[in-house]
Amino acid sequence: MSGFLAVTRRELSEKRFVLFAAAAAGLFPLAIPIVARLRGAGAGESRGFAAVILAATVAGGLAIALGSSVLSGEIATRRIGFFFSRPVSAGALWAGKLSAAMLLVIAALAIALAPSMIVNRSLSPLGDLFPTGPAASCAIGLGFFLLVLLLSNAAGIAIRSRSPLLAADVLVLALVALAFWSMGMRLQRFAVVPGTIYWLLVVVLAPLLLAALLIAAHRATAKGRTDLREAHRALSTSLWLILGVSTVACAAWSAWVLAAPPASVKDLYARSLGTQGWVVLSGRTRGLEANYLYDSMTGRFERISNESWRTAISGDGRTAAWVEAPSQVGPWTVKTLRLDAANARPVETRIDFSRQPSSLVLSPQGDQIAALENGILSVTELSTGRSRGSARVSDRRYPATPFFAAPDVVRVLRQNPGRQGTPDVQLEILEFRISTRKVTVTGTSETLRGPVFVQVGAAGERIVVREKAGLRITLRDGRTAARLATLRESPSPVASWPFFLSDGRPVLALNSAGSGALEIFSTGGASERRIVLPERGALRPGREIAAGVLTVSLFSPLGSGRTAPALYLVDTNAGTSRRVANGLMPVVDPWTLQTSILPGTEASRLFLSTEDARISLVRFDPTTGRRTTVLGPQP
Amino acid sequence: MSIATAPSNLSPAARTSAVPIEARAITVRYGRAIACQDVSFAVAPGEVYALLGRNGAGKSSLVRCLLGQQRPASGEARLFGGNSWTTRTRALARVGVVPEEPDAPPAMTAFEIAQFCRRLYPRWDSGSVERRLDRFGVPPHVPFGRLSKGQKGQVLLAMALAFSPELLVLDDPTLGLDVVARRAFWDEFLGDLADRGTTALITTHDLAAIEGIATRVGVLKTGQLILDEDVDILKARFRRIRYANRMTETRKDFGNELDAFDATRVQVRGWGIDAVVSNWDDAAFERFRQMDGVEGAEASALSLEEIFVAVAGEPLQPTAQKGGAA
Repeated sequence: MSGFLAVTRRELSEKRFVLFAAAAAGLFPLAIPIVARLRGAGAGESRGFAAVILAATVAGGLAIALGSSVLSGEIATRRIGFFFSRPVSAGALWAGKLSAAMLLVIAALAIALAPSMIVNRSLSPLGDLFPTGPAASCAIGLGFFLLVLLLSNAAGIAIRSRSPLLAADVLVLALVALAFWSMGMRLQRFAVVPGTIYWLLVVVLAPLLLAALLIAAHRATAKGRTDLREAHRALSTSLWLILGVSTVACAAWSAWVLAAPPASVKDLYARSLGTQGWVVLSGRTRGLEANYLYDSMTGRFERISNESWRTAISGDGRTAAWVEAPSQVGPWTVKTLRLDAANARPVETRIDFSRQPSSLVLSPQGDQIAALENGILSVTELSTGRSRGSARVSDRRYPATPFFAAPDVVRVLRQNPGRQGTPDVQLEILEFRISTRKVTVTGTSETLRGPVFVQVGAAGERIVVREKAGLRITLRDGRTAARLATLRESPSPVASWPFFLSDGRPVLALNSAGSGALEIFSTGGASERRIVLPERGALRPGREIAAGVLTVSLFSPLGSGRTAPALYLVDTNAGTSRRVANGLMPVVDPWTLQTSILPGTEASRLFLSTEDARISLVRFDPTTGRRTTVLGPQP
Repeated sequence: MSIATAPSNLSPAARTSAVPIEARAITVRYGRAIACQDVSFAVAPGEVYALLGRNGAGKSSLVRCLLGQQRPASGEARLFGGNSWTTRTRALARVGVVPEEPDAPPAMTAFEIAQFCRRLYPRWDSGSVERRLDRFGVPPHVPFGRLSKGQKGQVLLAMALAFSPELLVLDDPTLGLDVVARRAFWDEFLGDLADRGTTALITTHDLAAIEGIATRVGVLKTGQLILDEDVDILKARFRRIRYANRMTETRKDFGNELDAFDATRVQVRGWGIDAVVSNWDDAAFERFRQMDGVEGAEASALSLEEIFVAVAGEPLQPTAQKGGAA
C-alpha cells in the first residue's frame, strides 16, 4: 500500500502542471457569451455547452497523452528501473501510475468545467445535454475516459515495443471486431433485440473491456518490468485470452439464442399463412423475440427475420417469401422457401430492395413477387430475379396495398387524403398490368370518413370498406370502388369486423351493446341472417371448418372477470351457434387484406390456447372437441 | 525452468544459509542473441564481488536478472535465498542499487527522490542523505535531469546507502565520471564498507579503484563466466614473466620453456618474451630461470586490470606461439 501511495503521490506531483492548463481552458467558455453578445439563458447555455466540449477535449487529450506515455514510455527509456530497483511491487506501480493518470484526467475535467458551472450557478445547462441524468452521465463519462486511457496505454506499449507482435494484435483486434459485428448483425436480423439488450451489452462489454485492459496492463508491468517486448507479449497474450474467451462466450450465447427451436417460445403469437399448416410464429425465447415459419403438421420450421409480418404466401400455398437485411440500412433481399418440399431450404433470390418494402405479395402460383417500396410497385420473377415491370403507384405519405387480382394484374388500393385536417380519405383503385407495364386508375370512391379498413374478397372482385369506427360499412366493387350495398350504417360507433366467407358472402362480426353477433349478407349485399351470441364481447372470426361453418372467439369486456376467450362454432347456413371451448383463439391475422383459405383445411383447426400462463398452439376440432397441443405446455 | 546448480565457491554453511545474491545457471537471451549463458556465482555475506567484463559482455543483463527486473531465459537469480523474480519487492527492501544509467525521473529533485524513497524503506535515514548530499555538494532542490552525471551518481549512491542496506548492487556506477567524481564516489562507498561491512556486487570498468575493495572477482567474456575467484588467490597465481631466449650448443629450438606454466598470454617483444601465467609457482620459476638459453628472467605481480586484460582482453598484436623465437 505504501508503494502504491508513494507512486500515486509522485505521479500527481510530477504532472500537476496539466491542471493549470485545464484551468486556463476552463476560462475560455466564459468569453463566448461576451463575444457572441448573448444574455440570459442563451448565455448560460452557450457557456455550458462550450465548457462541456472543451472539458471533454482536454480530458480526452490528457487521457490519450498520459495513457500512451505512462509505463510504456518509462519502460522504453528504461527509467522504469528506478521503481523496479526499489521495494515497489509491479501491482503498486501499475495501480499507482494509472490511478494518478485517471485522477489527473478527472481533476482536469472538473477544473475545466468549474468556471462555467460557477458562473451559471447551476448544473442544468450542462445536465440538459445528458439524456441519462447527471449521475449516470458522469459514470459513463468516467468509464469512457478510463477506456481511452487504458486503450492509449495498451497502444503505447504495443507501438513502442516495435515488435512483430503488433501485426498479430491488429489482426486479432480486427477478428474480434468482425466477430462481434457479425454476431450483432445476425442477432439484429433474426431476433428483435430490445434496447435493454444493447444497454446490457454496454453494461457488460464495456466493463469487460475495461477489465481486460486493466488486467493486461497489470500483466505487462508485472511480467515485462524493464523489458518492453516482454511487456508487449504479456499485454497481448492477456488481451487475446480475455477477448478471445469473451468473444467465444458471446458467440456461444448468440448461437444458443439463434438456435432456439419453436418449442422454446414463450408468449407465442401465430398467424396462419395458407391452407396448409404453415404459420408464422412469433414470441419470446431465450430472452429475445424470435420469428419462425412453422409447419404445424410436420413440425418443420425455419427461423426468419424480424420482418415476419411481411411474410407472403402464394395463393397455391406452396411458396413463402420474406425479406432479410444484413443490417438496419439494408439492402433487403427476398428469400423464399418451398413449403411443399420436405427438405427445402430457404433460397436467397437476386431480388434486392434499397429500402424496406412496405408490402410484399406473391402471385397465386408463387412465380412472381410484387413489392411496394417507397411508393413504387415492382413485379419480379422469383426464380430469375428478372424485373417484370415497375411503376409509381403512390406517394409514400399515403397508404397503399397491392394484391394480385389475376396472374397478370396487380391491383393497388390507395388511400388518398380527403378533407384537409381530417382522417377522411378517398379510396382509389389502380391496376398494374404486367404484360403492358401500364398503370390505370380503375376507380375512385367518394370521400370516406377515416380511418377506413378494407377487406378484399378471395377473387378480388368485391371489397368491404369499414369507415370511421364502424359508422358505415359498405360493399363495393373491387375494381371501381363503386358502392354496391350499405351493409351497416349507424349514428354511433360500433365495434365491427367485416370479412368474407369462402363463398364470397360478406359477414360483419359485431360487438353491440347487448351481445356479440354475426350479420351475414348475400354476395350482393342483401341481409341474410343475424346470429346472436349469448355473450357480449369483442369477436374474432376464425376460419371455416366447412363451407359456411366457422369458429369465432369472443373476448369478454374488461371487468367481466373472465379473461380467456370463449370459442363458438357458428353455422351461417343454419343460423346456429354453440360454445365449443374456452381459452382458444383462432390463428388468423385479421389485418390481412385478402383471405383465401379454403374451408376445412388444417389452418382452420389451429388455435392459440390462452388458458395457461404460457400460450400454446393447439389443433382443435370444434365438431368432435378433440384437442392436441402442437407447441407449448400441455394442458 | 531448468534446475540450476549452486555455485561451487560457497562453503557448505554459506550454501545452506541465505546468501545475499546468487546466480544459478542464468541464461539471458534477446531474440536469438545470447547476452549471457549458464552463469553461476554467489556473493557470500560481507563479500565485495567485482563482476568484470568488456562492454556487451552481459553484465547489466545479469544484474537486472539478479535484481528481479528481468526474467532470465533459464536458470534462477536469487536474493537473500528467495527467487529474485518472485520475491523482488520484499528482497529489495534490503538492497541498495546504483544503476548504470541514472534513471531517476528528471523532474524530481534530490529532495523529492528522498521523500519518495523514505516511504518505501522503514529504516530510512533522512539525515544521512542530507549529510551525503551536502558532502558531495549536490543541490537538493535542483531537478535530477539538470544535475551533472557525477552528481546524479552521487544522489543515487546517497539514496542507496540511506537505509543501511545489507546488500549494495552497483552497476558500473562511475561510468562516464571524471577522476574527481570517481574518487568521491568510491571514497563514500569505502566509508560505508568500513562502517558496516556491507555485502556488495559491483560491475565496473574502473579496475584500479576496485582493486583494493573487491574480495572476489568474476569475469564475464562473451556471456560466459570464465573466472570466479578470490582476489588474493587470483593475484597470487597470476604473474608476468619477462625473459630472453638464446640459442646455445645444447638448445637448438624454442617454444617449450614455458611448459611448466599455464600461459594465458605470450607476446614477443624486441627484447624478448613477455608472458602472463596463471599458475605461478616459485619453485617452477626457479627451474625456469635455470633452463638453458633462458636469460634475464624476471617475474612481477599483476594488477587486477592486467589480469583482466590477460583473461578477457583481445591481444594487442598477434600472439606468438608459446616460446616463439626472439
